[in-house]
Amino acid sequence: MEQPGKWHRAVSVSEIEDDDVVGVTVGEQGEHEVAVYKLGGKCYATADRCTHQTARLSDGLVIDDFIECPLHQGRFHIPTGKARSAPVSIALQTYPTKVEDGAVYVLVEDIQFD
Amino acid sequence: MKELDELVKVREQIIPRSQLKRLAKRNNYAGLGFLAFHFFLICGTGWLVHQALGSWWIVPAVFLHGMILATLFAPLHETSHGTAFRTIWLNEAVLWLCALIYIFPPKWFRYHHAFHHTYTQIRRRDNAMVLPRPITLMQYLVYVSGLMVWRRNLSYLFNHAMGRIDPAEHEYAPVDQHPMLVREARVMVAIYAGIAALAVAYGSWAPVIYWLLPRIVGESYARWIRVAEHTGCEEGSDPTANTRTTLTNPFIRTLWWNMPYHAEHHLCAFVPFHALGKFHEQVYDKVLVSNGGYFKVHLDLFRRFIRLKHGAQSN
Repeated sequence: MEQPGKWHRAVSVSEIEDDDVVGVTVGEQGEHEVAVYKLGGKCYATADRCTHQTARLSDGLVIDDFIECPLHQGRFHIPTGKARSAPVSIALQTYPTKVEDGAVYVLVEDIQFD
Repeated sequence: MKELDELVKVREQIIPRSQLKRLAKRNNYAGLGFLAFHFFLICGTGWLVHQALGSWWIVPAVFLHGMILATLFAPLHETSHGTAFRTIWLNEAVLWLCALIYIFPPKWFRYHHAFHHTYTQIRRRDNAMVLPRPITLMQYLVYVSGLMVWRRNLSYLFNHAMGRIDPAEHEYAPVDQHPMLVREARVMVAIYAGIAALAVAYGSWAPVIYWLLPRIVGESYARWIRVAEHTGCEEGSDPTANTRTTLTNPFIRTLWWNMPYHAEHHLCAFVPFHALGKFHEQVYDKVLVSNGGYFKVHLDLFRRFIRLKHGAQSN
């Protein structure tokens, strides 16, 4: 089944180190702040803002399959976005990804601006 | 969030992320080593209390044991950040163990402390601001006595156990986590009730002699150390000025799980305790450092800020 939204080029695969994260903005007007991860050669994407106090997760630390918030060390499971350890309790938005021509693409729903 | 943006901006100017990533690597061994050392000392001072029973030596022995128990605040603090161990369950288990002995509800402390990191030294926002200026001698003595901390913590513990969450707590503890705060308080109260019941059943004063009494008298030491972390520092969100590192000897540093490197800890709380020494070497000239130990920090505070009455303080 086709997922709603539009694929946007986020970042070159080579710009992400293994087991690391980079922060990008995607969308027609750069309205989505997205964290793109490379874990064991596979790419994932989540919202870049922590659901606790909006710290930028791409400033945080990747530990195994988790991203740890740089401010209060709450952890989210990267593939599912699930909140794993306090103080975070609300799951993180995840986005489908695909790799084409050496770049990571992220599927996001564009926001309609008036 | 303005405070957070300021913190990140300053941090990026001081140290590149690639270096932070190396420092932030976690392991279980350092925490287990520090914890073993800590409990070895607790057993040692507990043995001294046992040897001193029936003599006047009991007084210094209980104080010494209480001081060592008070330093359990260090692993409690580190595990509340989730940085003491790489393995999450181990981190949470040690958090609970320390919290039970220390008599601090662990998850409540985690939320409360997280808020302190967001709003460090911002008046009326920082919920752990210690002795904001102007400071009177009486305020200093009351804080260092630890009495207010006992009042606050016991009140939270018992209120939570009764299912009551203070409206002021909504600021730092998300509403969806309130049932968890109630559950943890009930578990703690149940464990304490169990210990009390066993002590009564066996006619034993051991929990009082080896735990409660030393904990009460030892809290002053923890508060005295905590005064050095922020008191007298600049108010505002600049991490290079609102927090103080206190250089001290390796024994005290180890007892406090490197928390004397407090400016480094606030600059980047995801650097685990065991890497703070290395972090300090890289940023010592960019953060606020007091290099004469804790007595010097307190002496400076007395010279510069602490007065008998309000209205008589200098800068």
